[in-house]
Parts: sequence; C-alpha cells; structure tokens
Amino acid sequence: MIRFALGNLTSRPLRSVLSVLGLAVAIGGMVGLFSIAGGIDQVVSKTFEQIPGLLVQQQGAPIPLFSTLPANWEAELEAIPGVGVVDPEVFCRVNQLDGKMIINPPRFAIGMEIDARLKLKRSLYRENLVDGRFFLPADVETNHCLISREISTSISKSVGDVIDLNGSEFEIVGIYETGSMMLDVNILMDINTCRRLGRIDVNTVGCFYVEADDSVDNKTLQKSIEDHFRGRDLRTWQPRSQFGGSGNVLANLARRLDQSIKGTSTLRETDEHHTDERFKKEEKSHSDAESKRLPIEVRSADDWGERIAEFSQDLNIFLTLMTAIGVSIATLSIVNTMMMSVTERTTEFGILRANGWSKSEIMRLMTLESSLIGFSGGMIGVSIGWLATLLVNWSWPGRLQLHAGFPLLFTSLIFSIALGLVGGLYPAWRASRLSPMESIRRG
Amino acid sequence: MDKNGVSNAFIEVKDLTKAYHRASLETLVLRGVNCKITEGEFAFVVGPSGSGKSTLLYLLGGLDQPTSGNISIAGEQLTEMSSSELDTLRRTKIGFIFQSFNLLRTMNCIDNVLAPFIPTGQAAAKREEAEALLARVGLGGRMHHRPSELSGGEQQRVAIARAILKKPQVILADEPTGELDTETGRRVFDILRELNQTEGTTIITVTHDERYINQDDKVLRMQDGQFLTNR
Ligand SMILES: Nc1ncnc2c1ncn2[C@@H]1O[C@H](COP(=O)(O)OP(=O)(O)OP(=O)(O)O)[C@@H](O)[C@H]1O
Ligand SMILES: [Mg+2]
Repeated sequence: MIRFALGNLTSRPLRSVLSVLGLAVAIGGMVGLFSIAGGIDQVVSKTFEQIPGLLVQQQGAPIPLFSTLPANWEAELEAIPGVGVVDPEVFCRVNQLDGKMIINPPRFAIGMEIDARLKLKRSLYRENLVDGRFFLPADVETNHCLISREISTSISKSVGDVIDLNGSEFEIVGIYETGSMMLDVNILMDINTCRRLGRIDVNTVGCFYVEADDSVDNKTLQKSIEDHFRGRDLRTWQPRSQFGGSGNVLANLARRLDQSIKGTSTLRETDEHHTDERFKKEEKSHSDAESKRLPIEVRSADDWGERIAEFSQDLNIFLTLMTAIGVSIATLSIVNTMMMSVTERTTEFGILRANGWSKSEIMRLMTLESSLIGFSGGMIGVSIGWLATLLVNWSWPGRLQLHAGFPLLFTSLIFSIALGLVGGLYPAWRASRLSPMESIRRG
Repeated sequence: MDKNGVSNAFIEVKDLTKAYHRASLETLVLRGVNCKITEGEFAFVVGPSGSGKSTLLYLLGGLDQPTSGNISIAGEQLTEMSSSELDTLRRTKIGFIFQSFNLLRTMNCIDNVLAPFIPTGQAAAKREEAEALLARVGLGGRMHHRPSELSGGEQQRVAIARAILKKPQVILADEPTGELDTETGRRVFDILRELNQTEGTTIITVTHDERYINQDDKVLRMQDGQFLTNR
C-alpha cells in the first residue's frame, strides 16, 4: 500500500514536491521559532541549576544589576538563623574593553567578597574553572580578574594576559565556563576593586548571595530573611552612586525608567506634580500596608526560573500564532494537492472499487498519500530548522543560543504528519464517496 | 447438478429495473430484465448503443444498486448484501474488464495484476501466480512496464490477467475489444475462451462485434432496456 501511495505521489512529482516544500518551510519555521524559546529555557536551566542559594536584592529590581542595597545589611543577614555564608556582590557594566566599545554581547564586572566566596559550599565560577586558578585571599584589593572562555576567545587573551576595563588594567588569573550565556558575560573581581571601577559607594552593594547552612531549607530561610527586613524603608536610604556621576549609565537609565513607571520618582520638573499626586494617593491607600512594606526581594533559583518560564510562555503564544499562519497555508496546499488528485483519479478509484477495494480502503490510500507528504515535508522541515539553529549558533556564538532539542524536532515531525493526515481527510472522503460506476463511465 | 434445471441457474436476473434521476427527470434505463445464465456459460449481451447493456453489467457486478428486481449469483441475493460483502464479492468472485482505462497508470503490469490484493496484504503471496498469469497472456517479458508503455491489446491482456488471478466465478467484460483491431481482439477472446474451457469460468461479455460470437454461446439481445430473445 505504501509503495502504491508513493508511486502515486512520484508520478506527479512537481505537485508533490511543491506541497512537500510548502510544508517543509512551515515546519522549518516552526522549529526555528520554537528553538528560540528552547534556547531561553536551556539558558535558564543551565544558569539556575548552578546557583542553589538565595539572592537578596532590592524590591522591584528586574535583575540584580539594577539592585542597590546598604552594605551594612551583610552583618544583619549573617545573624539570621540558618544563614551559612553571605556574599555581597556589586556590578557595573564594562563599556570599554581593551579600548573598544562594548555593546552586544554586554560585559559586566562583578565584584565579590573573595573571603565569603571561598567559604561557599557551592561556588558556580569555582566549579566551572577551565584554566588558571580561582581567587585566593591574596587577591583582595588587587586588579586580578577571572573571565569566561567566551570572553577569552573573543578578545584572544588568556591566563597571565592583561586587559583594559573602562581604562583600568587587570590581570587575568583564571578562565571559567558555565555554558550559560547569562553568566558567561561576567568578569569577576574583588568587591572593592569593582566599586572603584564602577565608582560605587563603599556603603552599597548590588545584592547579597546567601547560602543556607544545613539546618534549614531555602523556603524557610527565604521567609525569615523577608520577616527580618519587613517594614524597612529603602527610600529614606539613598545610595550616593545614584546621584553621583556613576559610570553605569545604562543601569541608571533603566533604574529611572523603572521608577518612573512605578511613580516613585520623577525625572522632570513637568512630571513632578503629576507623579507626586499619584504617589501621595498611593501612600494614603496603602498606609497600612506601608508599615509592612518589604524593601527586598529574596529569590531562589526556582523563583527566577518561574519568572522566565512565564515570559517564555508568553513568547510561546506568540510563536504559536506565527507558526499557525505558516502551517494553515501549508495545510491548505496539501488539501489542494489532494483534491486535484481526487478529481484527476476518479477512474482509478472506479477501477479499484471494481476490484474489491472498499470505501475505507480508498480513504486509507488517500490519507496515506497525504501523510507521506506530511512525513517528507516534516523530515525536510525539521532538518532545515535544525541545521538553521546550528548555523545561527555557530555564526553568533556569544548571543542567545537557539536550542532545537529532540522533543521539539520529534513533535514537529509528528505534527507535520498529522497535518498531512488532516489535510488529506476531506479529499479522501470525497474520493471514497465517488460512485465506482460513474467513475468508470467518466473515464 | 442439473445444468438445465431452472433452479440451477448460476446467475439469475428477475424483473430488474434501473432508473436514473437527473434533476426532476427520470430515465428508465432497464425496464424489467429477466435472464438466467448457467455456470460455465459464455454469454454475449448485444444491442444498440444506449440500450442499457453496460448498466446491466455494472448491476451484475454490484457496482451499482438496481431500482427494483433481483440479482442472484451462486444462490446469493446481491440486493441483500452489505457493502463490505459486495466488496469481497468483487475482490474474490467477479472479474471486471472494461473497454479501456482498465489499468492504474502509476503501477507496472505486475502490480496492476496484484491491485485487488494490495489492501489485504496478500499481494506478495500472489506475486508468483501473477507472473505466471502475465506469461500466460503473452506478457512474460513486460511485467515491469507501465500501462503507458503498452499497446491497447496488451493493456487488455493485463486486465484479463488481473481478472483471472482471483480465480473468479464470473468475468464481466464491457466491450473488451471495443478499441482493438480485429486481430488483437481475436487474441483477447482466445484467452477468454480458453479460460472458459479450462476453468469453467462463467463469462458475460458486452460487444458490438458479433463476429466473436460462437455457435454454442448464449446471446442476449437488448433493446430499450429489455431482452428481445432469450436463446
Ligand atoms: N448516471 C446516469 N444518469 C442518467 N442517465 C444515465 C446514466 N448512466 C447511463 N445513463 C443512460 O442510460 C442509458 C443506458 O446506458 P448504457 O451505458 O447502459 O448503454 P449501453 O447499452 O452500454 O450503450 P453503449 O453501447 O453505447 O455502451 C443511456 O441512455 C444513458 O444515457
Ligand atoms: Mg456501454
């Protein structure tokens, strides 16, 4: 039966090839689009499965980069029962690397308290060291840094070389590779070195990375940290760097945008009145809640993952819509191909019926043919899509890596076969309903 | 079995009528056809164009339903059979040969012969037999040719081979030589006659060319949807 169906398809090669290609393009597009979502998912899981601790950051900061907290909270955090290690971190964007402007992919300097880092049970960068060494207590206050393999390749520098970050010279002591594009953009250094580089106030940190001791789980610890800081008002505490000419222009802009959206700060005189009104109203209505206001957010890797999963769900809806368009066109083309085939082959169906083929056997033949179109289109589309993601990843290694895993490829192929099947159903039903006698007479 | 006995008629047609409805117009194509054909008989249906010969043949093969009347083949009433029983009847007991367009153009000769058995999965098992049949109708060397690579007469012989493969009880042929010259037509009839003689297959043929009719054959003359004589 398959041989017969194949024979029927290959006897009208151009038409079959065209509808196969139409489907292949749609399925290839589908694989390509969903590989974006797959890439994001992969980055997320690669990133967060390596960070088992909690991140304490400023309330409302979309990512730690935009968070600022008082440095003296470190001691308070350490005093909370269940807290094992607290590692304060500061960030600044590296705008110039070896004299060249950096735009995309971005590079961030991350300052960490080396002593605390060395105490962590699980230390992401230490675990992923591929060359050189990790920080030693002697690296405190020095211009020593670790870079990722990706940065190392892109600037052709390795352990022992000197690089220039925003005008200061740093010596590369080690190279790490996490495999996550969200982490491999970071240049690691001592916390105070980073403060000098980003002109960040010594009394501020970006966020705290907290590792629990073995007595509590993350959920409990998360709650006790939140309870400890509940009611503190960060607005009365203003880090100097926000007003001083910080080199972190982008972060400032983003912070201001973020605040202006929330209506808690003003950018312009003309806006001042308007936003003040809103701010007051908000304060009034939330005056009770105000006292319980939480200045910080404590996030575990799972929370981050969920947040990004939400985003990737939205993305999936969009991708589904895009795919639906391509796929409906492809399906219509299959229906068209099969309908033409039906009108052309009435005699053939008559002969088959006269030779004992039942209606359902005719239907089986036709749906088999359209499924074969679906299968071939799917195979070609899936291969094209897969090769395309490899090509994109290979061409831009530092950017978002597309990921078309086996489940996506397999689902796409099955989907394509199903499309072929559905597209062939109506024509097949028409074919089976033809009166055999009429079919033969017409021939 | 008493071959002349009334009750022993292999194919029996009783008061068969067939009307076609086109728009509100009703055309009565068969107006009460009666006939009996005994097993192993070589029967001809002749008559002017439009008299209803093909219609009768399709009804005999269960390809269409009569308006009224009965057809029984080997004791079984066609009108009482379910559509799947009719399919099985056509697949295993009745061989059809049409005037033209008998073959599936995407298949080669051997696959065309095996076509009835593709859905049942018996095609592979019957392949050798099909090859032998093609050799028997003189097409041993052309098994892998497509219909478009064969002459009209050769195509008809492939159709005959296909009809014979199922070892049918009846072969229904609608002007099988209509598009062939006398010589090739003669070959087609030789094969049918041989089959009739050696296997005892009942054969009913519609034809315009009375030269193919032998003395012992049964001839049914049709006019305006009825048989004139019943020789
Ligand atoms: N589907 C149909 N609808 C209406 N009329 C039909 C239909 N099929 C056949 N007829 C009519 O039935 C009559 C008999 O047709 P049939 O094909 O049986 O004749 P025939 O004896 O085989 O003629 P020929 O020798 O030309 O093949 C014709 O008048 C034809 O127009
Ligand atoms: Mg006719």
